[in-house]
Order: sequence, then C-alpha cells, then structure tokens
Amino acid sequence: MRRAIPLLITGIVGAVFVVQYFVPHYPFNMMSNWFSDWFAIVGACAIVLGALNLMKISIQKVIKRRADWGYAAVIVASFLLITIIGLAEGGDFRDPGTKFDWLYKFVYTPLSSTMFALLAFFVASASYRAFRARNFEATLLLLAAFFVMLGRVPVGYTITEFMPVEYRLSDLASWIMSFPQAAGQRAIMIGIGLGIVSTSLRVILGIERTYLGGD
Amino acid sequence: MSIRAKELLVLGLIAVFSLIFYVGKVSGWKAVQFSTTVSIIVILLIVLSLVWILIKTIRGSLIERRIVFLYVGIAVALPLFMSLSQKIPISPEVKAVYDSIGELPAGSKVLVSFDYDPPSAPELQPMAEAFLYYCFVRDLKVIMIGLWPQGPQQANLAIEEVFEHEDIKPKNLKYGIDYVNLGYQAGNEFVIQRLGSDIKAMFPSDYRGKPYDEIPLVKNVKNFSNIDYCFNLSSGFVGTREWVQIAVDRFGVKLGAGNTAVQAPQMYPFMRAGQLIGLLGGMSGAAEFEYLTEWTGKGTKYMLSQSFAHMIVVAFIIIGNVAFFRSGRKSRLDR
Amino acid sequence: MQTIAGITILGRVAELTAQYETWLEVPVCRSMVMITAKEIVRESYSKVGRPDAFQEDQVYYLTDDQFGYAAAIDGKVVREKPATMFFMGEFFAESLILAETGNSIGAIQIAGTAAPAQLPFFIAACDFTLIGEELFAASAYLSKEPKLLGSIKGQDVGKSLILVAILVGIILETFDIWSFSTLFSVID
Repeated sequence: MRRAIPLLITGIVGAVFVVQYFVPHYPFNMMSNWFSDWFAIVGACAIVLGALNLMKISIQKVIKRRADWGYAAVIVASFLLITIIGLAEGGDFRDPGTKFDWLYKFVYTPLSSTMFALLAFFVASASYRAFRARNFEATLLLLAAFFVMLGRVPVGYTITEFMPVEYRLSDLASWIMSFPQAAGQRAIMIGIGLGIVSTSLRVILGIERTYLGGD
Repeated sequence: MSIRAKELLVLGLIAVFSLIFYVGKVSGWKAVQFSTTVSIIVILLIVLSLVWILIKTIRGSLIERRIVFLYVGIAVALPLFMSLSQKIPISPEVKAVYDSIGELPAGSKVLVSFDYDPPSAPELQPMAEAFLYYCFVRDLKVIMIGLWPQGPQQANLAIEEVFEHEDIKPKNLKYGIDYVNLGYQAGNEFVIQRLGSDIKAMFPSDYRGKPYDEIPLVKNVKNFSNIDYCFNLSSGFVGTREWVQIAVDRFGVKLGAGNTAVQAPQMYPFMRAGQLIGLLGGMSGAAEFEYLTEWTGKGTKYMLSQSFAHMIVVAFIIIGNVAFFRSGRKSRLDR
Repeated sequence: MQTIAGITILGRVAELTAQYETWLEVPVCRSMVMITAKEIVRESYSKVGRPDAFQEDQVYYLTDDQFGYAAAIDGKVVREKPATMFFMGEFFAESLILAETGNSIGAIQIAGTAAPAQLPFFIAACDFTLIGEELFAASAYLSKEPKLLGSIKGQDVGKSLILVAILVGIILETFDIWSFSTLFSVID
C-alpha cells in the first residue's frame, strides 16, 4: 500500500494531464483544474514543511554548539524577525513604508543582488581559464564569444559604426544569436524534450520508482 | 590568514563602507563625477595596465584570478563616476516588443507577470519600469501577477518609480481601475494553465485581500481570452518558457518577454518560431527599450559599466590565450 | 523531471559513499525533494548493509531562495572543502557561482543539467558534465533495469524520427512544396 497508492496517484494525475492537453473538454479539464488546485495547495504546504525543517536543524545546531552554530543563529534570528514583523503588520505588510517593506528593500534585496553580482567575477575568471584556442572548434567558439560579447553592448556598435550595416558587431552578434545559437538551442531542446517525455512516461507508467524511495 | 579571520575582515570592510555611505547620504555629499578628460585618462591608464599584464604574461609570469576579479570590479565601478555616453543601437527583438504594444488601442488589458526576485532586479526592474511607463502613457490597463513570491513586491516597486514621472502624475491613475496587483500564487505552470480557464480561481483576491469581483478592472476578466497582451519578466523557472508552452501554445496568447541575459538565448527559438513576439534580453535590452520609450532608467545608466566589463573580459581572454600559447610553445621547445 | 533523474543518481552515489564510508551531504533547495532524497539515501545505505551509518542531518533543506542557497553552499564548501561535488538537476544563475567555488577549492565536480543556459558554465568549471538528455539517460543507465535501458533506446528512435522529419521538412520548404510547416496548424 505504501508504494501502491503513490504510484496510483502519479499514474492517474499524469495520465489526466497528458490526455487533457489533447482533449481539453469535460471531464479532463475539470480533473486537470482540480489537480492543479491541489498542486498549489501541496506546494504551499511544502514551503512550510521546509521552513520548519530548516528551523529544527538550525536550533539544534545552536543548542548543541555544533560547528558554525553562529550562522545557524543568524538563520533563526532572521527567520523569526521577518516572520514576526510580517505578522505584526497585518494584511498590508507588503505595502510601501512598512517595516517589512524596509527589510525587503534594504536588507534582502542588497544581499541577494550581491550574490548575483558575484556572477560577473566568476564569469570573468571562468572565461579567462576556459576560453582557449586549443583546436578549430574552440577557436570558432572563441571568435563567436568575442563577437557576441562586444556586439551586445553599445561599444561594439560604436567601434564598427563606420562599417556597412550587416557587418557591424551588433548586427553580427544579432545574426549569431538568431541563427547558429538558436539552431544549437533547438537541438538541445529537442533532445531534452525527448528525455523529459521518456522519463515522464517511465514515472507515469510506474516503471521508474526511485522517487518513492527504495525498491 | 584563517578563514575566520578573512570572514571578520570582510564583515569589517562592509561595515566601514556602509558607514561611509550612510554618513555621505546624511551629510548630503554629492556623487563624484569625472569630467570627460579625466574619464579618458582613467581609461588609458587601465588599458596601459592591461598591456603591462600582457607583457608580463608573454614573459612567463601568469596572473592569478584575484587580479581578474580586481579588474572586473574596477570595470564595473569606475564608469559610474564617468560622464561618457554611448549610442544605443536597437535590436529587432526589442523593437518588436515596442511595436506590438504600440499597436494596442487605448483601454486594452495587459497582463504583466513578475516572475523574478531581487537578485535579477538590476536587469529586469528597468525593463518593468520602462514597460509599465509605456503602458500607462498609451492608456493601457495593467493587471500584474506574480508566479514568484517576490514578484508582486517588485511590481509595487516598479509602480512607485513610474508614478513619480511627470508624464504619469497628471493622469491620476487609480488602483483597481487603471492597474491592479493580484499578488502571488503558488503552483508554477499549473497557475498559467488555470489562467486559461479561470483567472479568479487562481487569484480570488488582490494582494491586499480585496475580492476579485470587487475590482472594476478585472471583474469581467474571466481568462486569457479577455486579455489583449501578456508580458512576462522572468529569470528562471517558472518563466517565459512555461508561458510559451502553455499560454501561447494552448491558449494563443500574444506574449512579449523580458529575460535576464543568461536566459535570453534560450528564447530565440521561440521568437524565430513566432511564439514570442519580442524579447528584452538583459540590461542591454532594458537600455534599448528605455531609449525607445523615452524612459530615463537605470538600464541606460549602467550600460557603460557593462560595456567596460565586457571589454575587460575580452582582454583577459586574449591574455589567457597568450599564456596558453606561450606554455604550449615552451613545452615544445623543452622537448 | 530533472530532479527525478538527479535523485536516481543520488541513490547510486549514496550506495557508493555508504560502501566506502565516505561522508555524504545532500543540501536541497526544495522541501518536497528533501523528503524524497532522505528516503533514497536511507534506502541506499540499507541496501549496502550500512543502515547505521545514515544520519538524518545528511539530507537537509536550505532555502528556496536561489542565491540564499548558493551563498549557503559556497560558505560550506569554502569551510569544509569537500573532495567531490555533484550538481544534478535544474540550475539557474547560481550554477556558475557553485561550480567556480568548487573549482577554487580543487574539488572534483560532476554536473548534469538539462538547462541549456547553464551548460556552458558547468562545462567550463566542472570536470565532467552530463549534457541535457544524458542526465535522463544516466539515471536509467545507472539503474541497469532492462525497461529503463529500453526507454533510452526508444529516445534514440524518437530522435531519428524527428531528424527524418526535419530533413524532409527542410527539403519541402526549400523547394516550396506542399506547405509542410502548416500541416499541424489548427484552423480556427
């Protein structure tokens, strides 16, 4: 039963969504709407579950003074702070001028943006390390990277403004993005699509059961 | 230096810089602005230092990655103080978004989905502001939703910014009549699917809790068939791909999109197939759209930093290849 | 789907780490995945006869937030310096941050994702990368079950059919024969 019920649910829900794509009429549209609503409910509950798990682990770490318990204390304090402030502000907690909004704009946003900004440095160091003209294909890749990197910023247009329209860096970059790049993306997407169809069918038909745990 | 010491040092530096910026803001310090001559001199100095690094690399002295990080930091930060401008060319995909909005008659309903969070805001927020500004200038009605939890908040921030503009203030736009924020709904692509049949089922109230049927703008909006245009701002999952797969493919929605620069290349097949009307890609897309809509935003302001950063990366790729060829030549000579 | 493929690979990795008594940590960024991953790892440890070695804290949820997750992983990686890192599933902008940090500490990195935008970053920074459908094929391959291996064969057949259709379509469209591309459009 422990494995049979989840397999049954997966099979029925998966089959309904597949059929509903091609037959969007009663009863499949009704069933698909019902399952979508339940997915939203389960997804929302799962967020709570994850947060509680995080709190449990962090609090245990603080109490038992395990390695890096200081960071766990920051997690617990931040979680409680934002939760209490959000609850205290009532239904309008997201409105401009509230304490929650202040924390969002001046604490959460700069911290998250800083992490994203790290990408700029890592892209530079990864490019410095990885872009080598080892062979013909790597050289082609290198040249394409040059054209796109310079063509996608105004400086590429500025330095080649004197050239005919199709030969300016910005136009070359546009051509690379629209044709070779799009073709490569399509090929990868087709392969990925096939992989997803195959994996989905295995899951829906119950052939793939690893997500249930065990044999 | 131990890791703990490094962590404390970084925290200390952050505290010091924060204090300096705070004091500056409170005291009303003016931002430093280099003149054009000084800007050009600074650029020349940076170029000379790069040439020096190149010479050192040819001589066999390899630079470490922290030097690369330093130059990227300089390339991003210094242009903020420079008073140089650059011409922004308009790409066809951005023009397509602009033209498609321009074709909508006044009063058309535009659904804007804010599917991003603060880390992607530097690229997507300028797009959001320029897009909302253009919609309001053209008297379009805007319905905002979020499939990411922070989406509605980002929508509010964009609205705040746009409403400060001298072209928008006189219009006296009313919440619930000219624009509405329906908030966030969990469920990812299932939400998009449900919007095709019943928007109210997914958003029974707006983000403040006001019931859907009491909002004049949306009370007669049942599903996608009552929406004239959709615009999606996204930086991951759930995002433009899901909107194309479900909203466009199944419900025939007209869709434009704004994506981060990393994700934008994935959308080109959809544009080539006609599933996506147009695409604003990264900060350059934002800058181009700001130029077209005549909105003065951060996209244009920060493009100089992006140009510099790209040139620095290209320079280091060249230096890296010089080092590579030099090491290859050395090993051949040793043999 | 990528997560499910990644979880299958996790099962196999957990078996190996249990066998060789190597510490395995599985930080996840989706709470629903945490429960499944915990079960998978527990079962894998039991399978090789080491149920005692499994600890509940090996699989834990960090945060749904993309960069909060990346920051937590980076901090852990820099402090604890793992020998090997596996990146399996759907990644976004945090991919390069994670992979470069792992590269900086000298860890062996194996990545697998079907997110086309992140593949270049993983290929540049990781030692081995499963590209796109290889991730799905790997999950079937590692299980060694005939039905799952058969599905990979089916994928190849499907790909061949699509290739033939593309070639036929190119020829027909180039010579303007038969409006092949509008064959499947719905007439309103």
